[in-house]
Formats: sequence, C-alpha cells, structure tokens
Amino acid sequence: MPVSASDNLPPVAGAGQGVLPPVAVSAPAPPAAAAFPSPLPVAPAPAPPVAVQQIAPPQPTQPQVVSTASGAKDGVTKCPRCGSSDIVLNPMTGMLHCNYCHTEWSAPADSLTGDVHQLSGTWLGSGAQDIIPGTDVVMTFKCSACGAEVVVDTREALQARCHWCRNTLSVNQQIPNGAVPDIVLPFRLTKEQAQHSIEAFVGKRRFYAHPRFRQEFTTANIMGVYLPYMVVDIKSHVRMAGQGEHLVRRYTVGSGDNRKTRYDADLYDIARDFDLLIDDLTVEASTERLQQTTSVNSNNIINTILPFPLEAAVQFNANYLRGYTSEKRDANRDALSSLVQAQSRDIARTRARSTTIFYDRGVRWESLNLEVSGQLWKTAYLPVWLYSYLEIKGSGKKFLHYVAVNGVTGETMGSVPIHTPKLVAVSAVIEIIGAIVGLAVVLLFV
Amino acid sequence: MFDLLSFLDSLTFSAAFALFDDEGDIAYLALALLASGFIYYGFIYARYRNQDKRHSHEHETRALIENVQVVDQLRQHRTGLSNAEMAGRNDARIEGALNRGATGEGMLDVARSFGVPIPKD
Repeated sequence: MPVSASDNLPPVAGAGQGVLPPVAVSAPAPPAAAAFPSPLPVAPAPAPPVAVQQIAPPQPTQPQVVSTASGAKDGVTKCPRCGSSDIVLNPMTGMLHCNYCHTEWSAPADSLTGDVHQLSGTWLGSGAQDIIPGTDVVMTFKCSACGAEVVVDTREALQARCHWCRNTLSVNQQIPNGAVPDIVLPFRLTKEQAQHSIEAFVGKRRFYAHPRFRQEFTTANIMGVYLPYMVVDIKSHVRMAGQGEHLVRRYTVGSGDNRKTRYDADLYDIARDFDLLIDDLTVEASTERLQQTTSVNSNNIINTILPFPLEAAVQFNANYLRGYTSEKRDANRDALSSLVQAQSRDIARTRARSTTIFYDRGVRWESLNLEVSGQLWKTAYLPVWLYSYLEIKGSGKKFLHYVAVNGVTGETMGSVPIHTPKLVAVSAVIEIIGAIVGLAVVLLFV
Repeated sequence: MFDLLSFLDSLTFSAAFALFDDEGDIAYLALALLASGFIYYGFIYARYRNQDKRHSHEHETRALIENVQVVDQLRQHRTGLSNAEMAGRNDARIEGALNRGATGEGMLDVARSFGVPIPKD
C-alpha cells in the first residue's frame, strides 16, 4: 500500500524516481592557452580565497520530518487479497508474496522520492530521527487473531510467530531505537546465486588460502543480512579557487649521464562556481561497520560492494525481512554529518575535474566552500549476502574475514586468510631468481 | 625443462629491453627484478585480503553539476620545471574514505569525531 503523506511531503516536484542521470555535467570546454575570458559565463568576481575546506555553518532551523510510516501497523500484517499472514519476499521479483494465494505486491517509497533541485532546508525521514537511549527494545503485542501476548526482541528480529495461532506479527511502526528504517531495498539475489558468487571469488584465491580455511570453507551457512545505512540527498552550491598548470613543452636537456627531462608550463589562477546536486549518498549507520581499520577488521569489504540501486527501494515492511537477519542502526545524523560533508566535497572535487581537463599538469585547490541549501536524510536497510570466517592465528589473535555480495547488483568482494609460510616460500624463490637476473642486468647494461 | 626456461627467459629479456631506451629505465628494471619477491608478496597479499578496497563514493554516487561559472586567468609562464606534475596537486584528493589503506590519509579526523578508536602507527 502506497505511503500517504500528503501533509508531510518535502517540497519536491514530481513523483518520479531516479531523478538524476548517472553522471551529467554542464561541461565547459577547457580554455585555450592564454585565451580568456572563458567561453562560459564568467563569474563577476572569482571566489575569494576563503579558508581551506570551509564548511557552511549548520542551518539554524530544526529539521522537518517526513512521515514514512503512516499507515504502518504493528501486529498481524495480512495479504490484501486473502487475509493470510504467511507473507515472504520473492527475490525474483522483489515483491511481497502471499504463500497462501500467491498474490504479489509492494509499496514504493513515494514520500521520499522527488527532484533534488526542489530541496530546501533540512528534512528527515521519520525513521532517521535520533535514537533515544533507553527506548525499549523488547516489545509485547497482543495477537489480533487470538488475543495471546507475543514478545518481539527488536535487536534480533522485527517479527515473531504467535505460539497459539501461528500468525506472524510484525513491527512496522517506527520506534526511536533505530530498528525500523524509512525504506528497505529487497533482496533480488537468491541464496544460490550468492553462493555461486562467493564460491567463484574464493575459487580464484585457493592456492595461497590457509589450509584450515580451505578445509572448512562452505557457503551453506551464508547469511542474508539487511544492514543499516543513512541515505542523503543534497542540494548545494560549491565555490572552489586555486591554480592549475597546462603543459606547453616537454624537452630534454644535457647529454649522456646528465640527460634530464624538463617541462615548460603556463600557470593559471582558476575558480569554479557551480550547483552540486547529490542523489542517494550512502553511508553506514552502524558504529561497528564504520570502523574500517583494515589491520583490525575487514569491514572495508562490506563498504566496497556499495552502491545499491536505491530507486528500487520500497516502504519498510517487516515481511521483507522474513528469512533474513538485520542489524539495528546505532548512529545518528549528527555523528554522520562530518562524513557526509567530507564525501560531498570529494564528489565536488571529482565533478569539477570535468571542467579542468585543460590543466593536464594538475590543479591545486586552495579553497573549497560547499554550502548546503537543502538536504534529505533517510534510513535504509540494504541487502547483503555475507560469508564470514574467523581466523585464529598462532599468536591467538583473531581476525574476522568477510566475503560480501551485494544483494541486488551481485557485486562481490572478500578477504581470504593467507597461508603465510607458503606465500613467503614462493616469494623467496622469486626473489632469489629476480635478484640473480637483476644483478646480471646491472653488470651487463649499467 | 631447462631449455624451456632459458627460452622463456630470453623472450622476457628481449621484450623487456625493447621497452627501455636508456640506462635510467634499465636501472628501474634491475631494481624491480631485485625486489621481485617483495613485489610478488605484496601483489598476492592485496589480491587475497583486499585491504585497499573501498566504495568509490566520489565516482559511484549519482551527482549533477549545473550553472557552472569558470574563471581562468593566466598568471605566469614557467620554464625548466623538473616534475611532470604540478607541485601540490590535490584535484584527486579523497578525504571521505573510512578505509585508511585505500587513501593513506583522510578520514581519521572524521572517524575520531564519532568516537571510532584509531590506533596510532
């Protein structure tokens, strides 16, 4: 059932999805050497040399909340056709499927789609509001079918079966403990497809894999997990100023042993001023997943399988989670805002490169001012197939390796424990052969 | 077997030296050969552990720039520069990657800001 949020919609135009093309730039041509002003409209004055990486001050107004849970009900969720509560996700279609009458349906996340151009001010999906410490995580429901009391521990699941009448009860209303997000992107990859991807990934890395890992490796126990993310749309204005160099001539000076390459270049003062619209910037909303120190953990593996095609996301319904596990969000917007700002500046810097192609020796930006005029934050459960292996090293040190598969795109990345003695031995042989050949080269040619 | 290795070696040498046209390049080749075991170890380690991998948010996030205004003003003609790239170039700098191994810099301050413990090198 579509979300009804007529009173709470952000000021967006249109109801379409996928508001931005993958990459599109109002691309200016590079300036001809020493030919200026540029063919593009020139700013009245170049951006002033403000402090490096200056961030726009936070907006004084309180964020406005878009309800993404209107119409959501806790308790027994019934098939709209036959009334059965035996509902699961069909990963082949990405829709909910009634196991009794085989009806399929979904609820698009209409309240959070729209044109980023029209964003103004700060908006939050109701599932992205701050987590209130102390909120009950264990909830008790009265089964609407038989009246029995059923307990759901939201740390581990958002559904439970009534032990008397076997109806499935769901938590769909948002409670301020981070358990219920605004949107969910249903799995589209089946377990068999994910198993095949993981086996292929590991299969290419078997030779140096640790013998115990090779012995114990099986994909039978891989888990389908919905991981929590914060998804942000941003409308901003960017001012950048710096210097760029264009190569004019490359030549060689000296002779014999003193031969050197030299370069002549033109140095330009440059400035860029543009609107930057970012659609679905996605960051982890779990404190544990945000820790990506690769000497300690392999969380970077899970980060690598981003992005997800969020235009296929739907309104949250706990039935999408049935048969899968989920991890509760524990990071709030304030804790993630500096990360989002840093990534927005990276995007600005990267997109600006399409306007500085002329500067083939590079650009040195001295200031980058990103002023946010509109932003929309929403929380999402995104699907990941996860294989994990706990390596216990000789010293007793433990390291958790992951092989992760994007539950929609199938992108796969992983970390495989290495049999270090074997790799060292082969490397040593290569080193000895390489050293002999290298010495021969030195003696013969240098 | 020995003959085959000799033949492969000669092929490798021929191909390699065709690419190098002065002593500086040959010196680099010799250096690479002298360190080949370490290079191989690093390559295999990276392939198995993928510690350098991360989401390329700067390229993979959908974004659009509009109403672009540019200023390009010639300041100076510089001659006899010894570096192929501009000094202090930072147009490809990444500061929003959480994976330290991927960029070698960047997000430490951001990570610390939300309490992530960062071990000191």
